[in-house]
Amino acid sequence: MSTGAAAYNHREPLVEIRDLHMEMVTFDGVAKVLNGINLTLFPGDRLGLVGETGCGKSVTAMSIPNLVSQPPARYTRGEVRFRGENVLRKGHSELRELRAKHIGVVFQDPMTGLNPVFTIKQQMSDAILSREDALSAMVPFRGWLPSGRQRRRKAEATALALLRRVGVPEPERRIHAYPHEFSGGMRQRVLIAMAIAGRPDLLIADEPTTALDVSVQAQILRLITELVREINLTVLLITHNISVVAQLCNRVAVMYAGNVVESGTMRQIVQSPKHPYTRGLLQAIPTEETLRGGLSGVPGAVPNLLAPPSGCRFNPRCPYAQEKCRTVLPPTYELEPEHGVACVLYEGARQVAQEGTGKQAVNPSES
Amino acid sequence: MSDNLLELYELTKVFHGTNRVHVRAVDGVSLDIVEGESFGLLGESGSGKSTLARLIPRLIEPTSGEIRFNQVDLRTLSNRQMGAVRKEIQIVFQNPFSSLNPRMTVRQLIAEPLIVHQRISGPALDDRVRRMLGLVGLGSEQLNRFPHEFSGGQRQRIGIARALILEPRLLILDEPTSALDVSVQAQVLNLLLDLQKKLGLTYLLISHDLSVIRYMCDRIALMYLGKIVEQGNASQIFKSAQHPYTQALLQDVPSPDPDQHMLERVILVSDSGFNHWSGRGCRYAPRCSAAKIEACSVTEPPLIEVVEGQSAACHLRRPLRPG
Repeated sequence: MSTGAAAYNHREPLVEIRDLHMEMVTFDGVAKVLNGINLTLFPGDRLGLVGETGCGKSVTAMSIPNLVSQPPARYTRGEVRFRGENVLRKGHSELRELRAKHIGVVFQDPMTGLNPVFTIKQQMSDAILSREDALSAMVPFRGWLPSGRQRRRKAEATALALLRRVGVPEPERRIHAYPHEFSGGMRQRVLIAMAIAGRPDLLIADEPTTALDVSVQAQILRLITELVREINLTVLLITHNISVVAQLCNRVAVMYAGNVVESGTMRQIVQSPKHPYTRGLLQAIPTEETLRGGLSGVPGAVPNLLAPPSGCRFNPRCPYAQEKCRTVLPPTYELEPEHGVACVLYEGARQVAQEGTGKQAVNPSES
Repeated sequence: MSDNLLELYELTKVFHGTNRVHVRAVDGVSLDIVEGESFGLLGESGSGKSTLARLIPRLIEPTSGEIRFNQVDLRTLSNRQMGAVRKEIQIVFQNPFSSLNPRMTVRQLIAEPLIVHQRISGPALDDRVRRMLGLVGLGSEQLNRFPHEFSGGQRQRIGIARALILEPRLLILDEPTSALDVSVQAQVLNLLLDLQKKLGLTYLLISHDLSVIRYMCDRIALMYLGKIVEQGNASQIFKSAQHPYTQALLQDVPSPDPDQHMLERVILVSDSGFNHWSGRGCRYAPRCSAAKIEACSVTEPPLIEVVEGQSAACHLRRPLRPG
């Protein structure tokens, strides 16, 4: 793991998202996309962020490297801390350094994530060089710099080693190919290679297997698991497929319409889900035991975020909705250590002050 | 075999590309679908399952083979006769975002097949459109809206309504839920089961998602590089698959239970067999983890019954009834 600011202590959270509110300005009005997100990632965590299309899971994750473009986005409240520093306050060059040094991102679509007019070799070495530039801008001049050609050769060698590492067959030959000559799974491997090129602390994988067949999906998940062990990555996996999370992650946060409604360890969420939405989501997955016609799912549809329901945003679809669900946004209650639920059904349990994940919070003022 | 609604015999489609590249997308597929059942077709992308779906109503012309629908060989029919048959065979397409014309309203979209095939108009047409809309769970206040105003699940319902308004006997569903979230997928699958019960439909469900097929289908077939490698009773195959490909595929389905880890097991070696299969022998042999015998690289194994009600195309399985 790379060492950054001297004051950084590894027992503190790597990422802390506190009460994050974000809006998106659209032609139809202002969409209230994030409605008070609380999330904590400790070094070594593998957290799965699960939810339906449009629940805000991607923008939550992309707020960590501050990659959501503003406008249309507008952060109205809260903060996103990476290693103790609020990334929403950072300037352009500071952000560039942060992304180059600490964060790797695998984007969703392996078909569009690569540029079709450049070879794999060109675009991988470009990315590696660009990352070096971002870092060297921060170091004072040391008297000698390699020539552009030397740097390019070195970057190409690095690219080749990375391709070999992620399991692209015949990398010496394949590195000269164009993206269209690669299958979906192979493209995803290239994107993963580019994301881990800088040995980041945090890997954000946005739906890395959604476009892939099951057998390829299994291979990619295996690859990510290996890499996590090998370079000690902290992972934030975004997906709508809870089965993928179960294979890769130790913790889960379930999102609904801009809120984290439940979070906990993988076992807590899958074996004893508490929030009505989490239960519905799990019952919607057909398994071996599901009888024909026995699939229940979640009735209704996701709310329009231009005019979200007041109170708990799940209340129009919730079978247990009470009067106060329509007026007050429920706080997060801690049922067990690490297991947090934002639902009034669990009012008896201890309320977590500002802690969405249920993990014991480190006092933010210390950092 | 009189209760078979659809019989395919040695159906083949070869696409001719440039540089003498010939892709046998569907390579000698034979199968029977009984009236009233749900038949599932499973396979990876590129296995030829969508091509097969389009061959059945002759949306693309087969290279060779027979398609018998309701005892009639469709390949002998003229275009005009074929039009009448297509009323009985309808397809729900995969992507609800690109398969609906964005410039037509829901009313126009659902009425279009009726206008084309039965030339009815006026109040009779309007009445049937409204009834159909109710059947798929949409309200008549949505008749004048455009597709972009709907979510993915609602759009797929419109796609289903479009296919069902002609009262077909066979509905081909090509990955009907792969673009949808699980909660919406559950709604659409239950709608399909409900409609089948009400209307006595026969389904050919194409998917790469084993859990969807397991939930919906009575009998299934697995396709690999254009050929059926295993076929039979669904619950039997999910319990004890006979072909090594099916076994590998079943192991790769992630389970939502964190105690059932699949990542430790490694079975399939690479994600595309196209580059490896030489054109001789068993097409799965280059990726196969089972013990290989000489025949695997020499002759193509035929699809034979190996267990009661279950066939597999593998040299390592003995036929149930020799000779």
